[in-house]
Amino acid sequence: MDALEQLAIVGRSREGDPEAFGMLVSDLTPSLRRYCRSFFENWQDADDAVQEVWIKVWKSMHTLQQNGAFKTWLFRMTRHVCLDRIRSSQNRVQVVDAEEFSGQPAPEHLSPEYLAVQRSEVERAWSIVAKLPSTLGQAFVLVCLEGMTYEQAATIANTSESTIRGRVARARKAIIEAVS
Amino acid sequence: MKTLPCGRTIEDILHKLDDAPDLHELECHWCHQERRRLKDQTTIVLSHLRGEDHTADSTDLASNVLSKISNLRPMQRTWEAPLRETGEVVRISSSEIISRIRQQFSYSHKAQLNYTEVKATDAKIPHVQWLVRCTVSMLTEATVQQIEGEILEYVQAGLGAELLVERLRVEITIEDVHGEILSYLEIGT
Repeated sequence: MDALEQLAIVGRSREGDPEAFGMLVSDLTPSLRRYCRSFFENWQDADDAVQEVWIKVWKSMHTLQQNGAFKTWLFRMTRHVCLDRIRSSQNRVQVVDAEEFSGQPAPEHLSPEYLAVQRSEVERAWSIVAKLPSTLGQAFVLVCLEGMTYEQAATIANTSESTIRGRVARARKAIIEAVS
Repeated sequence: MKTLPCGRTIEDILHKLDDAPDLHELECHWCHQERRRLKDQTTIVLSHLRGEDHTADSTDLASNVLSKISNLRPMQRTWEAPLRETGEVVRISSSEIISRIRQQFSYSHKAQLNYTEVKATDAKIPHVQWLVRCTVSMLTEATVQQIEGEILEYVQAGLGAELLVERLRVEITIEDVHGEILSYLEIGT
């Protein structure tokens, strides 16, 4: 789906067209799963969150003001849903203290020995992201995996571009240390 | 914090990994090598994270979502309006009107209709005064003046084909390919 086509699909979804909305769901579900996975430690929780997100989005499409803002709006809503689910289920929230994490070596659970026992390369990669402090993993997924700009990621995470830049750099550092 | 022989740290390079290399990096082989090493190592992880293993899961999940959504039809505003030919008052939904306007736009080679909103502006029933908001992208190098007439014509044809319309105001928002608003204008009859 190119950018121009996506504008029309988003617009039709705002009008309440279920067929157009279905195209958005099919197109963007893989991205949303990956983003949600950065909040949770397993795919099941991530998938539950994705379902909740899409239903909320469908119900509130009419509140979207601008077609071009859709993707950022969608990911912001996803972030809220994930955080709400974590809070309500008393799931572990990894609070990031940027200064504390900065410059420290990768923790033991990111070591190659630990990671080698993971089932597959894909799961191994996800386990590395999952072991990052939550906000670092989210920034890494948005920027490096989903190709968002620092500005877009900052809007979604409700923070500044420089904070996102720092988080992505620290995430990369931890990931590189984990795989090397 | 590891420092390269040129004096820069790995953190310096990590912070700018998504930017183009600066002049120093272009000329410094240590920085160049470090940038490549960092990129290569994250690329391996990224390729796994983008792995195809979960494609089927995403498809199943999307299907589940769509089946749940099929039970959640959006609220549709309906209007009582007189037919143009007979004056008989009928109930018509916004989506029906939008569908007629969209049908007209399907003939256009100059503008793509991205979003439409329709509402009656008169308080009395049946409604004969309408506001239509259209968000469009321009498909060619046509000017705004060139497409505004066409848009008004399409909206009139879509709305007025069956309904009696005494007054019509069209608000047109033109957006670029990224959805950024380029211009806004109002026209009417």
